[in-house]
Amino acid sequence: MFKKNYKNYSDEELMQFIKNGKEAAFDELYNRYADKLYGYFYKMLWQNVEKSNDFTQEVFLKIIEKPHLFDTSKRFSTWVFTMANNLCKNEYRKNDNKQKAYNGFTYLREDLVEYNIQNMDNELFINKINQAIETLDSNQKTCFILRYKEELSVKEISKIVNCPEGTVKSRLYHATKKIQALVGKLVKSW
Amino acid sequence: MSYNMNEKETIIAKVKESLQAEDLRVSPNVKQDLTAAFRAKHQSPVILAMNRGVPLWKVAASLLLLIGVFSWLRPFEKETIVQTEPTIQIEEKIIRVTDTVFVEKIVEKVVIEYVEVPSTTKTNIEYEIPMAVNATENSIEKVIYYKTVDLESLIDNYYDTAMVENIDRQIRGKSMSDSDIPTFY
Repeated sequence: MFKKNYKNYSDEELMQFIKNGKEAAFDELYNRYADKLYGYFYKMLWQNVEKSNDFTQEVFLKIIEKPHLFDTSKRFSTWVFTMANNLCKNEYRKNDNKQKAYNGFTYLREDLVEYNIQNMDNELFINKINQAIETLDSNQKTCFILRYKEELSVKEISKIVNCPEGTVKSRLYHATKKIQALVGKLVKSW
Repeated sequence: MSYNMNEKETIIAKVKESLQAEDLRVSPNVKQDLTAAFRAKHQSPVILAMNRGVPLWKVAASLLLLIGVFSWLRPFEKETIVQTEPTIQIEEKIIRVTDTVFVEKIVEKVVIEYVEVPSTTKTNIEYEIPMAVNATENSIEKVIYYKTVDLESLIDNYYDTAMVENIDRQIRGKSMSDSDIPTFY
């Protein structure tokens, strides 16, 4: 038996195949989105590896169990990140994230001042960015990650977070301002 | 890197670059679990084998082999004896019983008497002679007549004495209505 090559199909077409029980189509979709979703969860859930894996698995389980919920006339990425965002929201409710974010913000500022930026390599820079992202509130963080890590459009983000595009732009503005304030010194001396 | 030119854009560009360069990979265990879940939901073993690239003839040969082994082993299986409770057979016999009712009824009967008739003399039998008699001298003629039976003669002649006694008892014992008294012809 020949295995069909699903690489040339769009995400939406792959979902159609998944509905019909094609495992290879699922594999292809998994390869496209697993790391993206994991990265998203990793950023959103305080770099918690275990939770990020669990949540990634949960999203894909939903794709397996309830593929009929996906409207093939719409974009798959929007649907899947909406699911991911909702999972994060639930997690934030559980963990009282706001308090955690502000605590992180205080810690970061002290940390940045003390660090010798001349010796900073790329990995450490990423760590600092992650810490800076942690200082954002959940809405700003969602918009920021979706815009600058996942490179989704403002329109798409507005659909994912279910609010107007203007609100998304506003959140992005405040998020970048905060990041700029926190990471600016590092970039300047890069 | 020129920071003065456009501070904000530069910072964001650098952040974006760093975020995308970050190598974040999901655990391989997640894929295994998901594949198992997908197979459990969607696929029968045959389709699974086909998707994995197992030729159909191999699947068919395996099935035939399994069927062969099963059919070979089957005669060695112990016969299971199922004990059944003895069934009770009910035989239905119909015995026809004829109830004989003896009706005591006095029946008009033909009485045949043979009377010796002397010549020139007539018989002094009190009975009415309904039929013509060919009287011949000193001959014995057969006389046929119908006798109306009355009670007295019945008592004398009737064979069923028990019945007669019964009637007699009734008559003597109490007065009876007309309907109760048997009528004799």
